[in-house]
Amino acid sequence: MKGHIVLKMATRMMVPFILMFSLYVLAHGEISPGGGFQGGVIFASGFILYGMVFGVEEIYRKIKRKILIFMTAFGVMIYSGVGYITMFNGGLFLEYAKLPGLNMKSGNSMGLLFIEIGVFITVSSVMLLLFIEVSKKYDN
Amino acid sequence: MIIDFIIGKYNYLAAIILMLIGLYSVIINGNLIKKVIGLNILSTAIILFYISVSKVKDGSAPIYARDVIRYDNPLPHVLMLTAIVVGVSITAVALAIIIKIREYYGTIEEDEMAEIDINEEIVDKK
Amino acid sequence: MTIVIDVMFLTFLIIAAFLSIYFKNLLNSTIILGAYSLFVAVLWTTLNAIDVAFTEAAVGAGISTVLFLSLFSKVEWEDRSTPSKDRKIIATSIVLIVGYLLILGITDMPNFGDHSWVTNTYLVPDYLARTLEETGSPNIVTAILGSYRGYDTNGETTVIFIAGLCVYLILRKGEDK
Repeated sequence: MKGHIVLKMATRMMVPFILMFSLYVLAHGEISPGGGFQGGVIFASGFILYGMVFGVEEIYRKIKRKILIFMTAFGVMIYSGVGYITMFNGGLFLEYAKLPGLNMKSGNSMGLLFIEIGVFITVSSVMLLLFIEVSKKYDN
Repeated sequence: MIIDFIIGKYNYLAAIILMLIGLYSVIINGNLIKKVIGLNILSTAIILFYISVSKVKDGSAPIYARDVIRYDNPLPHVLMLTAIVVGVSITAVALAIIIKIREYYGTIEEDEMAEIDINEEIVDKK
Repeated sequence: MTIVIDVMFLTFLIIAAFLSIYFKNLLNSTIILGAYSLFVAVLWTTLNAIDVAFTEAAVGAGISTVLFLSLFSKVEWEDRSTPSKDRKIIATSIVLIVGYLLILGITDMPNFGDHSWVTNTYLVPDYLARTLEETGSPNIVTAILGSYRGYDTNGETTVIFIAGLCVYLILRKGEDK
């Protein structure tokens, strides 16, 4: 994509704000609409916008696919890990009140935040992976 | 009586019409991408049905606020969030399979694929 | 007043859905599908399902459309299928039968917006009363999603993970063995 100076400059300026907004959506999921899933999709769409304007190869070079695949599994691991921590602490699976050092209310709030972070990591990396895989050009 | 029926349940009727449009597209189109588009419309129609069930007259959005008498039913919203996620997963996997089919057959039309299959069988028998 | 807006939106949705399966040019269909998703999101805002509207605007109008569009660099965007007459008859009869059964099904249901129906009186008042003091989260949808129905969300995250893995495994081409 040669030329298109306006498009490129606008994308460069917008991408950081999109990423910031996704973190805002993640952090405010408890008090306003949003949460891990929506935030993850917005985070991925920031990178997708960058990839659409500058070419998929650009993200392809910057983010190794192995890291992306590791991140997809890592989010699920965080989510299930919270469940197992509560189990080893004497509660049920995902019973946030049994998180170490927390009571019912603060445990629920912290547990929600942790699992939303897990969902965020999984969703953002999966969406980016889907975009890269579907739109990559084959060499052979 | 039929007027009352339509006025009372217009949302459900619209959901049914959308669902039938999606179903028709899934059945009749030989083109695989059109089938996936039909599936998308079908899932949206089902979500519309559930969200219509959750709406309560004079209800407010299910976020705690002062001076609110009645909230909408939050449970269908939760279930439909999961449905949207599963929907996009289905779309992504279907598109990946379509790319593979296009590489193998060189086409994404059902009729042409069937023809290619039949020709290959004839060649194999000879 | 709301009924007028609702009916307007629903009519537009039906027209958009019809057009997106009517066009033979798949690029047109995809763009109209994106517009359809965006209007669905607006409709859900009017129905007070803001979390769902947010998700639909991000996923349906955003990611799905991008996936379809990036597919067209590898696949023809012309719909060349000409359905035979038998197929049309079968499809129409199936659609009519299913539609009749569904309309039969909704005759039992209460009117739109009825708050005394069993879905709105069983279990849900419990959630509404207990959520704030038990989880401390004002957004009831997030609280139910993460706390009361945490297993569901765990499964949902696993579904996304598996979908990503599937697409990667289907489309990879002999690289990084």
